[in-house]
Amino acid sequence: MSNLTLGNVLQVLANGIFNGTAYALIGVAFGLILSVSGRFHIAFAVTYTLAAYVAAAIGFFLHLPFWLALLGGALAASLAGVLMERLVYLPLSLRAVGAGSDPLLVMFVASLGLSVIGRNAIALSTLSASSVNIVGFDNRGLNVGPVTITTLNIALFVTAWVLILALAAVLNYTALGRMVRAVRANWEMSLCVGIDPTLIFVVVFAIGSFLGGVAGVFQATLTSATPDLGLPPLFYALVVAFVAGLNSSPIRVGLLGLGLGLVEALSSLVLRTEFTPLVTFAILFFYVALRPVKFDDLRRALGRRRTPAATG
Amino acid sequence: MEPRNGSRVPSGLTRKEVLAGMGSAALAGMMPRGASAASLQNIAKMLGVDPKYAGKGLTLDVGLSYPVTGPAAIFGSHVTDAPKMAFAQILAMGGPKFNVILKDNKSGDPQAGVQSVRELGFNHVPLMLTSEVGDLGAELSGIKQYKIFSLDGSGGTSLFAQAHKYFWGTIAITPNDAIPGVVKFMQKAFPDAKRIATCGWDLGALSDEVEADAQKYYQGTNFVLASAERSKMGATDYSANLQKIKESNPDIVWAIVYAEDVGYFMKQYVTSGINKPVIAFTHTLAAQQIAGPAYEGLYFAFDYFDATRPSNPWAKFFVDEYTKNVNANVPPDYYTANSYEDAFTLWQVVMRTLKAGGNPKNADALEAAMRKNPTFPSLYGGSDSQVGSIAFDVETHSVKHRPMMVAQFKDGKVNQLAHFDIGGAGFKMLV
Repeated sequence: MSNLTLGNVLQVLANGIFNGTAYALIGVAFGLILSVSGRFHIAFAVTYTLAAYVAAAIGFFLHLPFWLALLGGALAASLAGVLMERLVYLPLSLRAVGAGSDPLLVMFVASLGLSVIGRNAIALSTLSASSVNIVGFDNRGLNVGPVTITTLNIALFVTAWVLILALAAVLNYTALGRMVRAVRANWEMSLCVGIDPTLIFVVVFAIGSFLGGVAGVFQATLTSATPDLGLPPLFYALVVAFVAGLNSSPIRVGLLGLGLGLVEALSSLVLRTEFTPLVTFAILFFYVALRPVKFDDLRRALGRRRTPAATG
Repeated sequence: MEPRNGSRVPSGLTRKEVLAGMGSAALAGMMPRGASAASLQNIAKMLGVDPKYAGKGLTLDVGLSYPVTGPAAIFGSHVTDAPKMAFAQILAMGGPKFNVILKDNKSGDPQAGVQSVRELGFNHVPLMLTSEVGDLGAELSGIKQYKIFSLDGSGGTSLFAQAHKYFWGTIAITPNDAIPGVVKFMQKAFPDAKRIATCGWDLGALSDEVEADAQKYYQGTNFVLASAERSKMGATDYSANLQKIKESNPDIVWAIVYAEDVGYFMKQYVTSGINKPVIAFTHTLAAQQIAGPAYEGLYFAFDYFDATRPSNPWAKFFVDEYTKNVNANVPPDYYTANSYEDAFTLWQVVMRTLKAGGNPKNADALEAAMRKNPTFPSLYGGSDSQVGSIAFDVETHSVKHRPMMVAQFKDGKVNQLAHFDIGGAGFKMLV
């Protein structure tokens, strides 16, 4: 049991808010891809990691400021996500449907394969060092009363919530957002009103991978870019997206991520540090156990979203 | 004055024999480039090589169970190249041909370790250089079952792998062997400090044992344990651990994590608001590069190999040859030096076995030779004219004599602050 002073509790809350912000961003990113396209995109971990490496390369070789490196890394992740959708998921989905088999398993295996290939390709391309640093960000500790926060925490918090709110605004108030929501709700009906779902899939892969890339660059700035950087966040992204609900708004998903960070951090007041990640497992477990999830319905829902490719 | 061609030097090894050995090494594709016959001859003399028992003409298979992949892979290439260079030099000095069989332990993956030792056992490989305490103990039963005489130069025996047949740890047990010296250093350098917070690898029951043993060294002093945090091996994010360390209000922090993990720890430590001295039990260039400016001021205590100031002629020869032949950009670190030294220790054991009339392919004969004379030449310690030495405890199979130090990374370089031996023996402040 930790020393329950006001200062300690405030520090824990601050840590929870900043960790939760990162969970919020990746939860929104992963959830957007999953809810609209129905692709169980495990290779999200690769685009997350790729962004960090590209940002590190931009900073190291081009000596560009951190924010340009961040943008470059996120755009690289976005491009990688789009290529995965167009070159792997969509063709395989078409073939699976054409062959009369269930594309859900095909997508899962394809994504798993992409994540293994991507992770090893990154590791092989950076054999000379097991990790690389992202340079150009002056990360300093700031004491606010008894709480220490860092400039990187603040940058992540502002950037993440601006992006989440911007995405919510796009989805709610723009034509593109309405098309995305239409495909998410019912791709067949969206076809009837002239929306090409495959194009919307590309859009959500681009946006989701971009947001994930931003999170990846911040995480690598805090630690370092390693080939396995994206694996732990993938789990958090999955939990946040599932628990928040596939049809939830980015703000709701983001708040759920923030809540997860806070619960995890607060648990450190009573648990040893190495056991705090179990809290996330517990949340997922209770969600699955207590919430009346009808997996057949979920499967059908994902199935509805994955089949527009079959129609052309 | 150099002996003339064909003359017998005190070690008993002639230049002709060394040149012949270099020819053998070249034919074997392992020519130690750049190493002159004279320098090899000189090193052989310092190591006390007797050509009669050097093992010339023998071929011995030796397994290397090292981290080729995984988080520690960056060290895997270094620790693999160094013994290969050593074996080429040994061949050139008239020793046996060591046939290297590389196995990947995947950076502390017990299953990979078990598989490695099994494959070596099936192929009747009698010798092994291993790492990470016999890949976290997983190799120990195989070592005994298949009778593979093994040396671990990256983890030693730790506490959990002591007195295991055919398994010897060639480095100090970390952090335990260093702690008595560290406590003495802290009493001198930080007389007002009391509370120690630790952050070490979470290895389950193994960590319990290490922590319990470590605490006994500062019982009876002013120091108390404020908190004991644990992190995953290979972790990059220490924010949760640092929060708890901060809560415990320490005066000094011990980072009992290894390899690159120290770099990740320090990178986040500097922004944690704790602002207390940190003592680590390892130092590598890789960790330093990861931490960047955050590494400045870090103390470390262990049997550190200082490539910028080799302490004896053999160490200088090793640094020169490694830089010339293997890696001109990265000087050899502790792990690299240990794997090189281990190759020579293995050769010494083979020579002593031959001298005793034993079979160098028989682990029992090798073990007997090790127990009979457990003192070996070392890259560590020594003087300008004499190689250093290490000695093993024949009961625990760990080192009982090995030069160690406390140093600080300051102003971009390593500054030695105190010297001591295992258990804090001969502690001496340098500043």
